[in-house]
Amino acid sequence: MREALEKLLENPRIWRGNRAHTQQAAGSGLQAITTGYPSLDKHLPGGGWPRSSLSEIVVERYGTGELKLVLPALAELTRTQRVVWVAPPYIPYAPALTARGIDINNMLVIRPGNATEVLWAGEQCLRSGVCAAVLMWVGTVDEKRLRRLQLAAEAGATVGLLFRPPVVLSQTTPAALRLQLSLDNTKDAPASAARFVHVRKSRGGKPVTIRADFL
Amino acid sequence: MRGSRKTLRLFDDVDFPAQPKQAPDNRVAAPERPAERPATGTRLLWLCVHFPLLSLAPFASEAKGPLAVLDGQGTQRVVYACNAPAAKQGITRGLKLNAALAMAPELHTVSRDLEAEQQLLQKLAVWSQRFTSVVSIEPPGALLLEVRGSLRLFGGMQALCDKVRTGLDTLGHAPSMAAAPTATGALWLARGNNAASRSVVTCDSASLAGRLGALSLAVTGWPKKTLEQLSGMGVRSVRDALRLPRDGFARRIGKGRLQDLDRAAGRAADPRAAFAAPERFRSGYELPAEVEQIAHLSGVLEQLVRELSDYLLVRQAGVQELSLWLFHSDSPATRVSVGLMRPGREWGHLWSLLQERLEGVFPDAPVIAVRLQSGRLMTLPGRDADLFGWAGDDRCGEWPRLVESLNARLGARSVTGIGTVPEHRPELAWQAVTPGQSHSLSTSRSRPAWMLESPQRLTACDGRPWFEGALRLISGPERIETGWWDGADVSRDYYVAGNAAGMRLWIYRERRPPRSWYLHGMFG
Repeated sequence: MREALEKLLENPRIWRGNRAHTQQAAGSGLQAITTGYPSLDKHLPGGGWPRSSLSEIVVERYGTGELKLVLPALAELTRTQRVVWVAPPYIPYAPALTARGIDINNMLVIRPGNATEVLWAGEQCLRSGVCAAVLMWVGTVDEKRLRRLQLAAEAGATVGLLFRPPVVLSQTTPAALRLQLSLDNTKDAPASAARFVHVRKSRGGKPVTIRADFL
Repeated sequence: MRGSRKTLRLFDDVDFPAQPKQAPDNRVAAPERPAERPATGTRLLWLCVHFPLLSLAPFASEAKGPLAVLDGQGTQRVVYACNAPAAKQGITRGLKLNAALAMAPELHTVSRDLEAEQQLLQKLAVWSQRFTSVVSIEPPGALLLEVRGSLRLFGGMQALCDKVRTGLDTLGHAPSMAAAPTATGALWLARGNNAASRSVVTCDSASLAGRLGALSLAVTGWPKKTLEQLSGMGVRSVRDALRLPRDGFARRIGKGRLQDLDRAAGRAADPRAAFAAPERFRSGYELPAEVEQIAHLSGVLEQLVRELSDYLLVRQAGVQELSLWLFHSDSPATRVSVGLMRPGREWGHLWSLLQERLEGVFPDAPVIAVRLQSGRLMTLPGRDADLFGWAGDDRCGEWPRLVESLNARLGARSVTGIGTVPEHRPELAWQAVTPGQSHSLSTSRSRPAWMLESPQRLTACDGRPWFEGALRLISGPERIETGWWDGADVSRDYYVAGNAAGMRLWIYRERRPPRSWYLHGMFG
């Protein structure tokens, strides 16, 4: 009975309501979640943060706009799905996140004791398939471990966002996307200093630099 | 009246003599043969699972050579059971210890461990509750399962027996089995059945008496003295005993024995108390040797978790807490607790949680025994499967599962949700909470997404705060004051400030001397 059913369901003309999502993913190759910034979206593979892959965000210092870059996407995701923060460098401040539209009920914060545990926890969350996005603050990690994370993200169809220091720019990465945030501080007046998002690596796209006035 | 006729015919089979007319001077109140089958309403079918080698099981790991378990005391010690190598040398049940040692000088002998046998039998009873809700323990070494209602579910007697036997094989037991309409009858038939033959003796009420009649009286488990007395009368089989006049049998051998015969043949009611599994799971093992590394325990722990999972399956329950005790020879036991987010019973899940938890455990002394104990049982109903094979809520269970495994390895304090608190002091306006139990209050105030664990004091240069360059105040002040009621009184003026590195910071100045500047958050 079961085999007969499965055989029947292989027929492409049968549309299965609750499988629509996965079928679409299989059809369109790279699926992405909008960043909430249209001027950035158009330069990213699939038009946003790629699902089933890692994305690296390289920043000089934490607290220079990297959260603002990801918060609109998180606000959208936490409405229905769950987001995990692994080893954030500071306290994600609940009142501020709520004010930006994030449902903190769907947020989990993990603070592992050491770097090995950070990678372990990140991998578990990425692989589980129940987290829409996993944010990880990792420093220098060898490529083998990054590849494990990438495979985990693929297995769980999860958006993996890695926040990393500029040292890693010299290394190759298995991530589908690598962005660098920078500031044009040639001028003295910080208020008018322009922010830039450099797309350093984009699977299926070209490296570009975007002036990010939205940040 | 049909029932009574049937009963009568039952005894025609064995040519049981008609009840003798009672002599007028016969004062012995011989129990009347019950004319009718007990009016229990439904017909029963008892499956007896008899473990002839049960008493060997507690010592299974001790000796590889010939082993015999002894019963009795002092000079009366006789062989109660022996393993295959011992049997090969001619050791049989009932042999005196001296005779046994003469036949096999290297024979390893141990005394019966009644308590261990009883525990083992209880474990097996718990296990066999998966086949029927009525399981009765029949010491020594047998279980009685009432399976009439289970036949349809398991696909008939043969299929059910195969399942029981395969299951027991994996547990390392070789039972002899028999099925009969009466409990005592099934027990006797099973005792008379050879475990090695692996066949199941079955009979219906028509053939019951005939089958029983062929058995030797040894299967009744009556005292040796009684058996010798009967054998002196030339009564050796059950058939012979059934042929004896009832009143004479009752007078000479005892009413209890007559009742045994009545029960076996289905002439008297044979009520059995159903075994009720204990309310909490608790099981343990003593290790054959001291174990220093947790990794070496995995075999026995896996077995314990399997038992737990079997137990929970039968009880249709799940647990939320587990405690594992590791006992040491001369220091207090180590306790390892595992908590689950919601009741669970699946073996793979429980086992992986326990493994995660054990990775961080390093007992200071070698382990000599382990015990696994469950917390309170929670009802966990079975789940209906989807016709098309993709259960809609499949993913629902995996979020708690993920959080549990993170908890197990990292500790619950490292895995939290965050929530807001109605409070004006910024450092108290948030809290770590159990995942998924956040309260969220919206605030219209401008607050940074990153908060420092504790405010960081800033150096000041010409009265201006300094953080990687001079800070420029962008907006403010926002005054936040007081908290005298809990001793954490504050009096601060908050500003949003920017520096040359492009950071937007949330800083404050104490309103009390020395009026220093602090960094409290970053807008990220």
